[in-house]
Amino acid sequence: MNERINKKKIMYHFLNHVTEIVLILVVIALWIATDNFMTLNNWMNLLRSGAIKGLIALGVTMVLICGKIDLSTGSQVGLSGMFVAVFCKHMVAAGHNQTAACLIGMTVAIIFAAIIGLLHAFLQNQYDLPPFVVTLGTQYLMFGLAAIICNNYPIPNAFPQWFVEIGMGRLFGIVPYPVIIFFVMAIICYFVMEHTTTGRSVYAVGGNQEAARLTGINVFKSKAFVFIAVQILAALAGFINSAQVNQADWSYGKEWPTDCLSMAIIGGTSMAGGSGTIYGTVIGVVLISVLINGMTILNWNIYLQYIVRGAILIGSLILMAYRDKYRD
Amino acid sequence: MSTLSCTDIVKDYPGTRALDHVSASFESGKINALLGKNGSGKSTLCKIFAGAETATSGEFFLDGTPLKFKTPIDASANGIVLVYQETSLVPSLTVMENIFMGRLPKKPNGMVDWKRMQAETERLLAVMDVKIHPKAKVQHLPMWKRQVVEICKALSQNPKVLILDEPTSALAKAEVEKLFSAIRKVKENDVIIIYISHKLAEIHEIADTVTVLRDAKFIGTKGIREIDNAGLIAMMFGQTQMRKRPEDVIPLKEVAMEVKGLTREGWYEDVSFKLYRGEVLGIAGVLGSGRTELLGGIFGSDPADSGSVIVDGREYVHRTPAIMKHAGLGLTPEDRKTTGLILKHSIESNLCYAGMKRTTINGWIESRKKRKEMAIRQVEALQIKLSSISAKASSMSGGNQQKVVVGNWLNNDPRIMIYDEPTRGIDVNAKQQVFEIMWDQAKKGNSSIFVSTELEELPGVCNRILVLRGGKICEELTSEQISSMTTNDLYTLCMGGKSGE
Repeated sequence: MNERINKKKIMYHFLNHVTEIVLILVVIALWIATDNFMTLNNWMNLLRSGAIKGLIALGVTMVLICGKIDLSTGSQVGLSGMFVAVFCKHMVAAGHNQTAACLIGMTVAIIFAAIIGLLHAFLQNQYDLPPFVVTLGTQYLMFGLAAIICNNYPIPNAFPQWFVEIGMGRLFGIVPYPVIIFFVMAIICYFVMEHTTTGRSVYAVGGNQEAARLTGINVFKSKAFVFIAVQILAALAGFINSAQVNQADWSYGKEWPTDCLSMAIIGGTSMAGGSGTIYGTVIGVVLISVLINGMTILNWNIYLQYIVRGAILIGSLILMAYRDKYRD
Repeated sequence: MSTLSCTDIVKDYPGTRALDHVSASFESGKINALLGKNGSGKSTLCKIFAGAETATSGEFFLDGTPLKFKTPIDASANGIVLVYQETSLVPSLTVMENIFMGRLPKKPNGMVDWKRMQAETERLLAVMDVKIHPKAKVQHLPMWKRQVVEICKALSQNPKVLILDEPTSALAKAEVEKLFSAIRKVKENDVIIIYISHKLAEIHEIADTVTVLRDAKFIGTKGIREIDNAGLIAMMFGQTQMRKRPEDVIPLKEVAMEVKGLTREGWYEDVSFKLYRGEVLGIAGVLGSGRTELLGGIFGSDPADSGSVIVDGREYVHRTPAIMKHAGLGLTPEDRKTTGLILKHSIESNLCYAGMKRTTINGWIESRKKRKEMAIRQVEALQIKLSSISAKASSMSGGNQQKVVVGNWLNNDPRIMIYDEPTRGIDVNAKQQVFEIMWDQAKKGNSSIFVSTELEELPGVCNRILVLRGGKICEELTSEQISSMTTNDLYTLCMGGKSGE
């Protein structure tokens, strides 16, 4: 009996740290297999592309902890970049200051993202609609909206230089700004989730919504927080992504939700709600970024990469199932 | 004739013993009632017979053959079928499909044999002498007919033992009689029928023999003609040691809360009462009297149609748990596992949800130290037994879980606590501790509302008891009246006079 409990305990700890172990193994394997994986420049590049998706993954983590899901984040990426570009293009054409135009565009994009998040929370809370399907709907809605506001033409070179710098620039010429933004946001999310009543309420609502409601926790507030946070983080990711290529296109980010879900789930967040950590997601972000980067360096066929990414999501769900089983 | 008997059955759950050396026997051709209050072990015993649970020790026999089941499928293959309280029918399918679910008769070519299915269903319904069309959809049937379908489903497996777990719990009185005459028909077929119930009133109507369990022990088996209601009550409740309320728990004259004209259509009507500071107020009512809904209506966790609650001179017409928590109320829900606790979270977390604001340094940022202190304060005050404060709430026994639910609220220093069935499924010592919490709170000038199905608990604990019957408060018992009262009197009041439900 005692032995069985011990075995369970070992299994539990193993499952909790398996992501770190896998990360180390993959890094070592790529280091041996390729010449240019273990270079500072490559690492900075892989972290930069990972950081943009990672921002969304942070939001996805909070939504999953609350026991909900948001699949619309990909469209928000394209839409938020498009808002900025449209404002820049039209206001500059009308003779306004470019910086002011850009800031107004960003503000509008963030307010819109917050409204979408609030809408998700409201529809879920008021009518008990499944967020899975609701956010599939808003995904289409935002995708179409992004294409319409630019008359179906991508907008290149509309941004002021400082905005482009957010995506392209590096601190001291080494660390890309997106990576810094990601880690700052990760620390903020970690702090909110672990050390504030807002975060603890989210865990409670995800753990058992009815019990949380009966202890006087404002359930709608918790849902609104996570749904708005994930949309705003996706909007930020959209800004950085557009800045990086100095162009806005409605199709940006379309396929990201898969990777973002993988990052959160492989990092230990359960889709059943109530458990998961921001730290785990940060590890998940690095692991998925390393894998994607490794496949590119190894020159794998792009469609093979799709197969692998799909398999990773399913694999991380299996891992999640085992974690949930051993958690009690 | 056949006999089902058991000897020395013991069933242990973590922290509690559900069956303690129970030996009993049941004969065919009779309706054998198995009677006991909630948590007496009657359902557990039947689950063991039906393979849904395995006994820790002890054996049982059908006609002298020892039986041992791992699953309910094992048991039904051996002729023992349990019909559960909640119906397991699929409402959108027909009666005959429900009866033969998973065992649809097939033609040699593999297609479903609808004709044979219909004929078989008609035969089974004829046994019970009930007219239901085999092709009717279950969702269109009244509740008692659904129970009949459920029993037919069991009969279709040709059982030797048919166990019915409180089949009348969702039925209206007129329906109960129809169901009873159907059950009596089954009796003619040399089947051992075990009828689980905690309703005294119906036992005399339906049963031939009655076996009573109390606190996990076998008390006795009697022929139904040998014993009257008073005798059965004595067997069910025993010489209950009245828990003595300390002398110094005396309510003050100040009103802590006033409930005014609270109504929820179909549940309770125009309920008004005052709760005084330092008072323990009991609400007595049987299952279905609307008590849980009333408590939820006061606390704002369930809707109410009209009426209001006044706390500290402020009238609350719109109520939610968050608003009423702010007003100084707390409520421990009836079902601690599904609505009282977050089982997958730690004991520490579960002790700090209601009082979350108090664990912070500025209302928003939490202090780990404060959180730990708050949790440990309740662990010590309520003597909660645990392996570690960071262990999951699911790892504890029922009594300790209940203390965590209470402790969670006490951490918010509520002035009015509402306890909905706090003693369900916990052992005697844990019960006593829950009562002591109420008395301690009363001495501090705080008030409690206490609801329990186990009516015998109320007189010893409460200063005053309101009797809730059919959604209305029909009696108010003062402490003088309570002291001269027996469990039997209270039971009769709740059931509405001598005639029973």
